[in-house]
Amino acid sequence: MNRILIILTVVFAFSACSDQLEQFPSSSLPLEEAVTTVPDLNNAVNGVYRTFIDQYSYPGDFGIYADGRGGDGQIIDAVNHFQPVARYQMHPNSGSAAGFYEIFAYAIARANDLLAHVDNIEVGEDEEEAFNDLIGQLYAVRAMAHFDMARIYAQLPGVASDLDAANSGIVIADERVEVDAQFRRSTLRETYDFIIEDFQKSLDYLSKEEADGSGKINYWAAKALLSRVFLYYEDYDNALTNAHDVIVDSPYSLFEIDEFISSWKQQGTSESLFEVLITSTMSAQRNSIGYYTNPDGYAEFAASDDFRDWLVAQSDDIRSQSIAFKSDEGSNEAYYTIKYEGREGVADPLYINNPKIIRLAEVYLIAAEAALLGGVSGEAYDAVDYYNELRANRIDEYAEVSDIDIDDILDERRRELFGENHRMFDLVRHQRSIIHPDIGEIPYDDHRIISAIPQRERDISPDLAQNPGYGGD
Amino acid sequence: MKKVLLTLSFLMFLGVSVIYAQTVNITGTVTGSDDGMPIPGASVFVEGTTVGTVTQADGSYSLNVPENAESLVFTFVGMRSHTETIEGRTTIDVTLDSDAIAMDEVIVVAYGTSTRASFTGSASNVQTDEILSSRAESVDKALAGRISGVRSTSTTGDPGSAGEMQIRGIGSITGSTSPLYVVDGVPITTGDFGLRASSNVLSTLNPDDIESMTVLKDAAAASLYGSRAANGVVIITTKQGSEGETQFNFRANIGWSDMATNSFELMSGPEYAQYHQHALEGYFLYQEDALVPGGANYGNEAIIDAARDFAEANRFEAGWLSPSSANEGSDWRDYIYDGGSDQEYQFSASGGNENTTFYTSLGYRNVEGIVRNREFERFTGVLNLENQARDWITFGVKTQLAYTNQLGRGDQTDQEQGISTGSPLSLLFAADPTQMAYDEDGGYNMSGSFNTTVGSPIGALSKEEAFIENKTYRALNNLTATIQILPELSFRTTNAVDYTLVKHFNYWGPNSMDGASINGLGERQNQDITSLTTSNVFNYVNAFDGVHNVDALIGFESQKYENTYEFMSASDYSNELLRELANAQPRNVSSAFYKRYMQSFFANANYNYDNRYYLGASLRSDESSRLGSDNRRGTFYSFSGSWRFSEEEFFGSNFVSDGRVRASYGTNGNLPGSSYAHLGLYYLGSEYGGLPAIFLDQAENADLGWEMSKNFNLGFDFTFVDRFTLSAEYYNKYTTDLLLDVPSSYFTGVEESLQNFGEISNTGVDIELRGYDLLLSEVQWDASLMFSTLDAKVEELPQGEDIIMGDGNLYIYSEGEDLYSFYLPTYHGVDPESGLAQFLIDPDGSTDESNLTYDYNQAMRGNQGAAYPNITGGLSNTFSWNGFSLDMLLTYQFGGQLFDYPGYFTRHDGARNATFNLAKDVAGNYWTQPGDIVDNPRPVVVNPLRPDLWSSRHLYSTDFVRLKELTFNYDLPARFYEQIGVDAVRLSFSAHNLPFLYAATDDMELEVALNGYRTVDTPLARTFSFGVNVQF
Repeated sequence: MNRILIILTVVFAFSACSDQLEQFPSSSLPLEEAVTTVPDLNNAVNGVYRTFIDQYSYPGDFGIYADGRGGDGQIIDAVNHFQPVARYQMHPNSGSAAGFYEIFAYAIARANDLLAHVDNIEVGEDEEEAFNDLIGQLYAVRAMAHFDMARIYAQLPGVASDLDAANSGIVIADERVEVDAQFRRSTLRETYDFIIEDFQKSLDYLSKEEADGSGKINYWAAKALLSRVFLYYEDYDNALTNAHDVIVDSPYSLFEIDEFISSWKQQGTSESLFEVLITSTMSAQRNSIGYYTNPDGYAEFAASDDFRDWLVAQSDDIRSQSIAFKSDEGSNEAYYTIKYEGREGVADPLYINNPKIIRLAEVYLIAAEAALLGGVSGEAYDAVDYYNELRANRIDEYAEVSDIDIDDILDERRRELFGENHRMFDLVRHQRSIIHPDIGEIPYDDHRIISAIPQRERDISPDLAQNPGYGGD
Repeated sequence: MKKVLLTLSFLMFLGVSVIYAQTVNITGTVTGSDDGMPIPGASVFVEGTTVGTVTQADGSYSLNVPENAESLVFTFVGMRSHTETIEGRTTIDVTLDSDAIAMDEVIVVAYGTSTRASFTGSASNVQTDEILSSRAESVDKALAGRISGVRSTSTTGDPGSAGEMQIRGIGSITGSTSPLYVVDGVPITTGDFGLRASSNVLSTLNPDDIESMTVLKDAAAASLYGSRAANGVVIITTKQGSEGETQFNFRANIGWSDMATNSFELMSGPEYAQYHQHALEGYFLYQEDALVPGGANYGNEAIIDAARDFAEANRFEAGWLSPSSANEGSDWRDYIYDGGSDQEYQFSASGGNENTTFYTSLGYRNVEGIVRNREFERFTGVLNLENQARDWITFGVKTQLAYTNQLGRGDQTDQEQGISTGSPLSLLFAADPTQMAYDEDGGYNMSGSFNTTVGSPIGALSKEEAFIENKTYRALNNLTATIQILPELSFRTTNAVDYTLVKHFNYWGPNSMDGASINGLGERQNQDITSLTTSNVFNYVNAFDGVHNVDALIGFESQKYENTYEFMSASDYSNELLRELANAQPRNVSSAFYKRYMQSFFANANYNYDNRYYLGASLRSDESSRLGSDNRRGTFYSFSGSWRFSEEEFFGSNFVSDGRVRASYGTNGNLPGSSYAHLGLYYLGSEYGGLPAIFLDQAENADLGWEMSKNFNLGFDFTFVDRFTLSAEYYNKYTTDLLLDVPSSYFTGVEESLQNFGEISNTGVDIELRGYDLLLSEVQWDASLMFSTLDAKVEELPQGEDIIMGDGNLYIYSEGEDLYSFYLPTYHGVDPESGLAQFLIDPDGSTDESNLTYDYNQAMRGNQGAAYPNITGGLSNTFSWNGFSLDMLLTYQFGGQLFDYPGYFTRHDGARNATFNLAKDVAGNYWTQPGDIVDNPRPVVVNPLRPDLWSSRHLYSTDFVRLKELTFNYDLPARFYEQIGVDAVRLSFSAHNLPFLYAATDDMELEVALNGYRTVDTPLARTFSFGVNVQF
């Protein structure tokens, strides 16, 4: 009898309990539970912005992408992190071609997942405005990510021979998809029309309030980004109109001369319409713009000798001080940008630099360029007015000029926006070749100007066309 | 000794007692000839009848035999059977000799034991000596060449890192391919819980505490383990004492190690400087459009001359990435891979009385890896107790405690692309060969590396700079009770607590290359894993009419698994002296908790008729929390049978002393590795601008289910003239509903999603041929040959479309093609005229001019053949004479190839000049002038053509024959020590991973994982070890 009792005790003591078969993770939730309220949606929109904090986005390689490739920069230390991008080695199986694609596509997918879900969110009466603003941000981020993918993976409209050529654009992703979805490319015209439409949609929803540290896209940032898209699309009327609105109506103002240098150590300054917020826990670390552009980091981006000589010679211009001679205890000596030396007071300055996605100075230059190239806004401003106003805030005792040409605009962009991801795009838009100190001349229509479409995406989507010059089985 | 299994085998023999009228009672004792110890459980029966009994725990027996009986037969597993004529005696004591060929050897199988003869499945086992002789610190690395159909490798030679054991091929594409490990009846926690470096939980198990290991290969053997058995099962039985005077054993080993192969030899200073000068010429020509045939200035003599002048003028100009001199610098490899050492001490005691037996041990091992500052240390303690509390109940308690400490650097065993700047190999590649290791004052030469942030490659490896430490604490506690309900029916409960704590510490000093930008970094990660198992089994054994033998079991089991993860980090240290996180500023914290639960029912029955015809069947039902509610129940089964034809009366061969044929068919499963793979999830733990950020992280798949494999096994076993055994098996494992990480477009928001898609098959032949005492002389020669073939194929994929995956999209999965097929452009070698590398545009096309290109990007990828070897095996020879013995183990493999990922970095054709040095074999073997027939193209500084990019150029054959182990033992004659109370003394010397006797590829470690990926990690070490073993 004893033995039977013991056995029964054991059997019941350890008998199976099937409620244990339902197990859920401790740090994630399904969408339906994770996003039910407006504050939840706010967290999820933060999640979309957070996507960009990666080597292959604004705080990393894409922060100085067009500078590293544009000829004004040179590589000092051969550590091979930013180098494949700067030296035009974005072949179909490269980490960089896949990396940029991944980050921008993720941002788009995350925005699409939320846009498909927003109808299920409970919105309180006093939350309507905040809710709308979040929807606007999703449209604007989606548009911005498409635009930047188009800059990397498709020809710029100013170079393209036919905006309607098949596969000349990029993939347009405008809805939530299943995991087995396949994609194909649109035409360049469809791509840009979609970007413009999304930005315009966002303007209907976005708040005009300034975000904390300029860390989110508001109405003015979206409008400024839209004016940049119109400029690339060579729709100068709309570029000018949108840029002008921002200049005149927005609460942002140009730096004064003595603010220019110190502004780079601060978050959310008077010029900054939108920047990506970097913290010590969330940064691109050693693949960040700060680490690339300082001698005690990877030292993979310094001013080229020609650019240095040209810029430093303009000593009455505060921007001649935007590069400075630096070294890492005697090695990696060169002139580096001072824009990414780290936010004031942080322990790891080379990691913590908010990339400024768009700031007011650029909007002035967009307006000037658009006006110069024939844009009409119905306002009583000429190209030179925008130009003079910016320069007056950069040069001591500036004497206004009365006439400018496109070279003046390009030079002004070169001075103002060094290290902010513009140079290669500006040259190519205007069909000018690049003289690269490390690899020589690259014609504006060279196939390497455009990155290869990553092979892994083409393996998944057989109809996704490769860019010319990269094979294409 | 096999006798330790007596308590288990006891039951198997219980039912053989039949009483006759008119009998004589005979009593006696059965002892072993080798040690004089009583043998319990030995069978005693009247010759020509089924009248018999088994011996008691003290070896005694009592048997009523018919008056007309003439002789008694005594048999016991592992012993030669013995026939004794009765001649009217009533007391008959016998001694049994051990039998070299153990057809009746007891083997431990799923939830019990069986004998070799009656087991209808496919299983192989190895004993403690064979496990120990490998000197591996963990059992998953110990079996190379010892068991057919089992391949065991490790992705890095660093001690304490994870091994990789695969049984009969590649069970899955993205699911686990590792077997289930069961220790003393309990499925244990295994795996790699390191952060940035491989750290093997299995290395907490001291091989010296293991009595035997059984590898279950087919469904008949393994399907009782159901959902986790698709990749086979490794059953480990730890040591247990036996009745008698307490035996002590002390063993000490001391050894040293170095790199087993001449891997990673790089150019000398002068060679590199000359190479760079040639690369500058190439650079100049490229700038002038004179490099590539068809270029505007190609072949222009004036420009070629100018290029030469340019290279000559700038060969030491830092601005052109040139080295500062062409001096002969240090051989950096000797400093970074500076050799290792090994110390081990093991003390054990075992013994007991008639009620209680015990085994206890203490072990210590310290292995220094071949990389500078790489160490592994282990302390283990074991106490195994067994108590026969009443005649109907036996308790067993087994406790294993272990602490391991692993120290070193990060590695790339996860096979994510890239080579970490701080890894030993990267430091070696980046070391400047024109520089000396130390400066004139004896300090580190801080210009020793191309990478200025590294400074000194040696200094950068010091513990003050950075280290990774993994401490693992393990307690495996196991309580069993066996209750004899009826003579034929017993109940056994096994209850275990398996607790593992892995404490990880990663440190970057404030002035180290990695830590300088944030003024030092400290990261602590703790993972504790608790696994609670209860398994309760009823066992029934009976025999009817002397010829119908039946055994059956039915049981249930549940297992709860909990894993807590905590991470914290701090940066900005106040000084360099103290490394605790408290001395720095908080940076990041994170934690997570994972839980799994599984409950199972299982049953198994075996029947044999007269030890000639055997049948078996098993069934198991598992429910796992890792799957959604509609799919969480899986049912697995097997059928098997065998025919021992040598027992038939018509079979009268003297040549074949034993022969049988067996077959099995059944199913096994494989679960997703993640606890929550079926759920669609938003990750909640991120931040943006200091505020919470959440995002889509995993796509939902509510239909996710088991990966299911169907196994067929057909085997033949022969014993020839009592001296040779041959076991030959054919297997076919067909896996459906593969757990596949199907890549998805980035526009879906996830990189891949786990789905049940596709089918694969593994087919092969396993042959084991053993010979015993082949010379029949004083010198005993035993030999065994293992031979296995493998054919692993993709059978079906979703919509029949190829899947390209793996790091860098290295592998293609294509219907009808091999698993682990490399997918790369075809390299066509160097054009002797231009010196440029050529690729085939159509990888499978002709080598006509029209299909050749200098532009890597124009070359399409093609299937370059499979990585895994088709043929693997080992040959072991043991010679013993007068206390001396010599054991040689050869291992071999053929038909595989590896992708030389380190070679991609060191055959860079100038693309990485001033970043990495080049392989030694490139020197003198690259193009310098028209007509050169060489393997490497002309170098170009920052080579824009990138002929070094991944192509078939980096594939190499892994065919080899290797002298894997060489062990020399000497048992000292007793006269030297018997006066001082010592029973035995053995001296030994062993060596491992000796040179390849044949290697298809030179200067490379060819023992790589089945996927053929040569990692940028530490290669295998060659080790030498002296040992002494004293018994008293």
